[in-house]
Amino acid sequence: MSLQVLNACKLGSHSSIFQTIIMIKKLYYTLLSFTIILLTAGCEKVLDQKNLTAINPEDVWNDAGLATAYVNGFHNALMPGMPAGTGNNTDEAVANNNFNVFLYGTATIDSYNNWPYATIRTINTLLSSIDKGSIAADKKEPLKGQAFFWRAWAYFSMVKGYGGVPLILDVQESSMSMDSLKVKRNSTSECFAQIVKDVDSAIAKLPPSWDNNNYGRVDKSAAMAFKARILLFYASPLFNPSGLASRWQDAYNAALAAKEYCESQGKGLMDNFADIWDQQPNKEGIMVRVYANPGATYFTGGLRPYKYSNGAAQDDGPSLELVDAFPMIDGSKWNTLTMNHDTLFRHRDERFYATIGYNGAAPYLADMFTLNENLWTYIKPDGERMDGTCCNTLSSFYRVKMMDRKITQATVSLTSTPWPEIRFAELLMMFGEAANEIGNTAEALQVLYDLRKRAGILPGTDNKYGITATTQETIRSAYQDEAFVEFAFEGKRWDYLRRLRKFDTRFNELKRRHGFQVYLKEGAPAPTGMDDINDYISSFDLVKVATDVLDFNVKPEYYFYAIPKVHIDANPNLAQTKGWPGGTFDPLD
Amino acid sequence: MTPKRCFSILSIIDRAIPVKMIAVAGFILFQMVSIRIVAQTTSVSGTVSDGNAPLPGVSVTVKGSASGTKTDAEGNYRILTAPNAVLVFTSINYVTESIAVNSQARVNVVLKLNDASLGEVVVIGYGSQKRENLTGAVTSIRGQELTQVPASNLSNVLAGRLAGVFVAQGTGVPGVSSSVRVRSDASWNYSPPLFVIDGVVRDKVSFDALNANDIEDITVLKDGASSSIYGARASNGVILITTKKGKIGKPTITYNATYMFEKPTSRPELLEGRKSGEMNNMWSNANLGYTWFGEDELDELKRTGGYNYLDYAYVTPSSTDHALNVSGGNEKLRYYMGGSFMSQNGFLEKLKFKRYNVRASLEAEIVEGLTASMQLSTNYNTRQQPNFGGGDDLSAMYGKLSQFFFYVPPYINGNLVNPGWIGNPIGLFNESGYNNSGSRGLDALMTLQYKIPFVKGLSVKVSYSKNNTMGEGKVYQIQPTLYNYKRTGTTQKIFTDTLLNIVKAPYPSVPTLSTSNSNTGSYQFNTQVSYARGFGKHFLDLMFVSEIYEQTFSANNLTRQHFPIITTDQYFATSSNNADSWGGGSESTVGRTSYVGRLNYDYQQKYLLSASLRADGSMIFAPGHRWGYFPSVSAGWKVSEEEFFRKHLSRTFKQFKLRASLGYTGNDGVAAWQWQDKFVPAGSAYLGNSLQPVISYGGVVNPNLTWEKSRSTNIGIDLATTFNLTMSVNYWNRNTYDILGSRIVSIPTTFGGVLPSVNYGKVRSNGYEIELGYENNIGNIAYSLRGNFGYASTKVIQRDVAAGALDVDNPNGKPLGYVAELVSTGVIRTQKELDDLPENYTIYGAKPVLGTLNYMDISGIDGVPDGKIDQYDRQVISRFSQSTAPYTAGANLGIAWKGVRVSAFFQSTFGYKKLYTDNWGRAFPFDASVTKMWGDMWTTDNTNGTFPKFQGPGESNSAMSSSFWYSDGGYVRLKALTVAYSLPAVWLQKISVQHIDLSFTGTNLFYLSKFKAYDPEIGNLAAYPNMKTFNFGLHITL
Repeated sequence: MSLQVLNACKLGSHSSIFQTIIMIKKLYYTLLSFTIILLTAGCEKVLDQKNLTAINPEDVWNDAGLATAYVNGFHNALMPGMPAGTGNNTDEAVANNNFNVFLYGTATIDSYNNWPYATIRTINTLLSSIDKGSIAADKKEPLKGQAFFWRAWAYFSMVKGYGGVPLILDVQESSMSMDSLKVKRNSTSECFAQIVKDVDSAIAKLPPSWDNNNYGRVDKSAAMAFKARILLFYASPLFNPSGLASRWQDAYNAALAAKEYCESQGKGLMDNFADIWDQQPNKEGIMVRVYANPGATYFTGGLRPYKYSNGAAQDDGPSLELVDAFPMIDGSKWNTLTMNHDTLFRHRDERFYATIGYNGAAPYLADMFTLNENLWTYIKPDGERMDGTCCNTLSSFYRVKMMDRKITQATVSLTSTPWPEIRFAELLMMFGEAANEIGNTAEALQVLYDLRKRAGILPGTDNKYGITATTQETIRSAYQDEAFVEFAFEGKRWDYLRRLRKFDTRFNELKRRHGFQVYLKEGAPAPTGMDDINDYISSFDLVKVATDVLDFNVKPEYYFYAIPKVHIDANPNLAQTKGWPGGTFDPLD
Repeated sequence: MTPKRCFSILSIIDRAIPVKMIAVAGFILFQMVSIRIVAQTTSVSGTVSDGNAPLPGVSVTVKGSASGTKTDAEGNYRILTAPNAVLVFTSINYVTESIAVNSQARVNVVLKLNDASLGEVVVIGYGSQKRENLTGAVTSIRGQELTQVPASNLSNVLAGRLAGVFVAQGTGVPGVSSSVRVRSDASWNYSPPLFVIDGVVRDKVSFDALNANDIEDITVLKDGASSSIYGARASNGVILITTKKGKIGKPTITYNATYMFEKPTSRPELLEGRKSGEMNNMWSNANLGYTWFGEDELDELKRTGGYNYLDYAYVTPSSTDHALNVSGGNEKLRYYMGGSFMSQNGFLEKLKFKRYNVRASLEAEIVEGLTASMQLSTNYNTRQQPNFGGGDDLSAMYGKLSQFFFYVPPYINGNLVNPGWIGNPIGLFNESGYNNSGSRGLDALMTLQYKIPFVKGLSVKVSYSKNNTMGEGKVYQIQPTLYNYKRTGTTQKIFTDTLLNIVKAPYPSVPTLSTSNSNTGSYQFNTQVSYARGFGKHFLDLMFVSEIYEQTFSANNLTRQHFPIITTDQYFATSSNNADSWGGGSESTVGRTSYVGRLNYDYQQKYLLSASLRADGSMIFAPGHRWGYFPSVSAGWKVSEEEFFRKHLSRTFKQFKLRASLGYTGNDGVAAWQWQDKFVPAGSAYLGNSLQPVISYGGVVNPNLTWEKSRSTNIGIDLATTFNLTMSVNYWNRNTYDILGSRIVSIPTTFGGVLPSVNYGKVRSNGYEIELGYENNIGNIAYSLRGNFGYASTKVIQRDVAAGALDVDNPNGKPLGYVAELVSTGVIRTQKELDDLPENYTIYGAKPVLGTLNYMDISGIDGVPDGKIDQYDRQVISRFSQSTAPYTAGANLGIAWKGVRVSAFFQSTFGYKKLYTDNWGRAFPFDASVTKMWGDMWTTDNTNGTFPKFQGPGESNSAMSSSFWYSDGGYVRLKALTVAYSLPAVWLQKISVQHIDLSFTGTNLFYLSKFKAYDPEIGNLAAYPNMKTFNFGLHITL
């Protein structure tokens, strides 16, 4: 194409259009010939545009920075966040308006849909491509390690819900036939084997730790702790109803290895339970999602009393069942028969005060410090509710645990407390639980002592911190009690009950969750501000109320979820889980 | 006209100070008018009539000069001119006459009525054609008719005007446009019709930015043969807009002004306050286990009746519109200048729309045969909304205002009360800053046309168009101040006037100022060679065009938070902390090039043939797949020109024409770059102590991607009778193939990726259109009737379907947009009905109880009824939904008597079912004012209630969409009713004014529909409704 023509393509976007007219007027014969040239030559060059947002595929696997940015994508997609409000679906908290279909027995095959194959594909893409590029091994191996970790994470999240799912470990080409894409479910055991294989690859490739700029990426400690979690699930009654001992041994070995490695990396229990969330980063965090304001924040308005929230409320209101589960300072259990709830806040362990907000509790929110007031949740005779809630205070308890003390009523959507998905205490508990199952009773008990010591429970004369359990069965039970309070509101309860196959019995026996309505007696002195609740015990009537309007009805088939219709429609080779309509797939194979 | 003067126009536009601009434009016009050169030597006078009566207001000009006058009320004129001059007589609706003076002192003229339907010239792609010679399906509307229905954008005006054009106005929010569809969608890849303004391919936004007063006419190319001249993007029809140009004659100045106010067509009907409270109690007792309102609070609700925030926030929407334009000229130089201003206010203080338009057109014959023309236009529009709105129809806002916080007084002692939760809606909308958006368009089109003197019929045309659109947005979010008052009552829902404290509202969470700018620049460069010539009985018209188009787009945005010292909507006041600021942006480019050729041939004006071919190159596709070829052929036979027809039927028919056409069009409406393997930015992730970039794979590529293609056929009849009836009928058929689609549904979900689009789908569509016109008079009462009717439907022939999909979910063989839902058998009213259900009968896992809806058990996982109502029980309950409505109709009735004209314009869309939806879907609006429907729900005391009971815990859900909630969505609407009065010419003559018209127009005055819950055109009970408007207009022509 001639230069003239190119110029014509860009003609007249600027300068004098009218001068052009005059010029053309004078040269109209020239113009005519010019036109004919144009017509025949055309301007195909305009089709050669550049995509201004595209990154060349070859560059990605030759540049550690680009490859890291790619890893950030699936890291972000799979890293769990603060599980605010999940307590309402368990016995940790009372009901809010949310009606859980599994708890009340109306679940359908579409009720649980966790299908992260899109993210798995992005991980497979990295694993199949990165070796073709030129990134140096010291940069490349940690990237691959992260990819293996997150693939294991994605598959484990599915398998613990459905049992076996199809294992896709390569990038399926779009040229593959539809039939070859219609894969079958792998057995649960195959899936666990693959998950463990991936997490082992991750352990081999991940660094012991990351620099400050990369804090929050998964490291070797996280991978080892995760491996313990995987094998503990596989050994637990959910997948191991017959109690195969070898699985417990595997779980024990993994937990022991993780515990020892983490300790070698300086991980351990924080001295003070409340500091786990208030002072981060810290040695208790093994796998942590980092948040910061601005840029990475979340909403906690619903966790606060109405008076200090921004409208939302009712999330994670502790149930009386949870409140009663906290041990006393001497390690003994709360005894409903002999003890009076009027003084339920007296002589409890430190975790109680770091977890439960009760009528008269010390300030724990920025607004309360500013206003100089304790938490007041009672109802005045004229109907006024001190927590500002219009109609119902639910249980009269509030969640104190993990609440950001800097956040105010106006900034509830800007919470940035980092979230430790795996913390050292969980690793200890896994280790101890497995130890108990293989008969290492002393190790199992020591874990309980350590946790209780950290919780401020008095050692007692026998140095057993109130633990009376001695047999495998009673220690098992002691672990369940401990886990309920230690991990309250950490989003672990639902799977914990499923893992132990206590999901249906726990809820169906409980029937409904409970709370208190705290009424100020007519004419009784009413505490306000920083008044000491102990001076006002006799001012209140506590009325126990059931917070569910319907009895629980958890069905046995809910231990393994159904594959939703949308997946089976597209691939009839996916067998439905047993227990659901048309189900043939046995998740215990 | 010197170049200098034109530059002054450019620089004025640059400054873009719209109101001033109109004034300056007026001044320039005055200058232009004054450049007439007149030689006056003799006086000529005479009378102009139509053969029966004198014609007032006829323009009389001297050919070759700008000199001219007009006839008076008796049809007389007098003009000074050269003895050898030629006088030109022009009047709207009459054929222009040129008569040589030949030294006569008196020249009387009889003007012939211009038979609009026959002699009319219609704009077609890259040219124009006499309507009588058209061989494709083309429909058009004159600019004059557009200005009859005032509206903030052109799309809204088109509803019901043109056969086969479907327009849906989803909301009455100022500045929000309607969707426009020509015939049916060609495929499931939505792309709007192609908008071509003065020969330049533009988009719907540019179309809506035009001012109706500046438009000469709008033509819609409907069939494949007519639109295939626009090739690759014409599958969904082409809308051609021609703006006004200068006309030969004395300067004509027109001024139009309208003032309008609005009323909603419908508003949610709510239960009275106490009744709402009692319903809330019923719900809370069942679902929460406690009572929401105490008896004292119910009494308070009875006393207040419940507060409706909408009433407090509501200001009557109104708008004003002013348009001034001037046109005139002579053979050598013609000009048109128009300026307009429109301002529309919505129902809230912060809801505003303003638009300014200026347009100028100049045409000059520079030397014999060489015409240069130039059009410049600029528009500027701004839209203000509260920064809490929820989409174009403001459904988040409007619904909240009507129903939320009905027990909380909005104001106490003039202070905004804090109701908790999201805060006081009135504060959110009126005092939390604003969300402004606007756009500026600056368009220039330069054309040079040369009729080559030594080859008869050959002409060359070069045109260059430069278009710039600048978008701008500014969002200012601050927290309104709210007042907490002491509350009393059993559940603390009675507000006292004891002030507790003053707080900032929870929304927005951080005070923020952000701005965004976008810039779209494009040019289109066309070269066109035409050859049109008759050879005896043969007439040949050849045309060849090359077209180049390039566009660049860039956008950027900046956000800064916190106002440390003073809170004002300026950046200087925001925090200087780096962490409180961020910005972003993007750029992209588009390129297209095309070649077009067309042959029009007729023999004796009797046999008509047209054939065209367009080649389109698009960068959306990979090299090697970029070029698409779109041929068409059409033919017409004017039967009425045949001897036999003349002999036998000419007493009945003036014209009778048969047409048939076949044409190919395309659609490239898919995302660009799908053929290129790439990674793309995908947000950021927080790690360590900073946000780190994220990139993701750009998707599986398909290097073979190419156009969707449609093959359309159309047959038609046009006829005109001697008794003033005209009719045009079209039947059409379109096969769209190679439809781009991704195998999303059929690919197993474990694939994890999205397959790229491939050209595989097929959709067949067909339909017909009828246009009718009739006009006559009884004595001196003239009346007219014009109607149009269109049907369009689609059938999917090949589309992706999941292997295990139920028949009901298989789109093949069904129309696009069919509706599949559970079929409701109605409310379960008696224990017996409940007992008769099978054992373990469930509805989506839950037990039905008395008062809930039951559904037909059609199938289960094994293909037989299974006592479980779930996805397997869905059936096709309607072939068409609102967006694929098959029928449209419009009727315009007009009556004129002396100076009074009345016209009524009805519009209708029907043949589909529509789902009732409100802010809660269809669930119970807990803690809110309750819609009237719930007052008639099933209860033990009202077992005959029309509606099912609300969902209780563990009970089946009656609120999910099912046939129960669908009803016929068809409607007939009196779109516009106009009464206009022209002041008598006798009065006007004294003040040298041609016309003064006064008019009243009411739009959307009423509608009829089986869909009762709300205006059937809007999508949701809570959406800002369509408005009834009452317009008062003044139209002056000088």
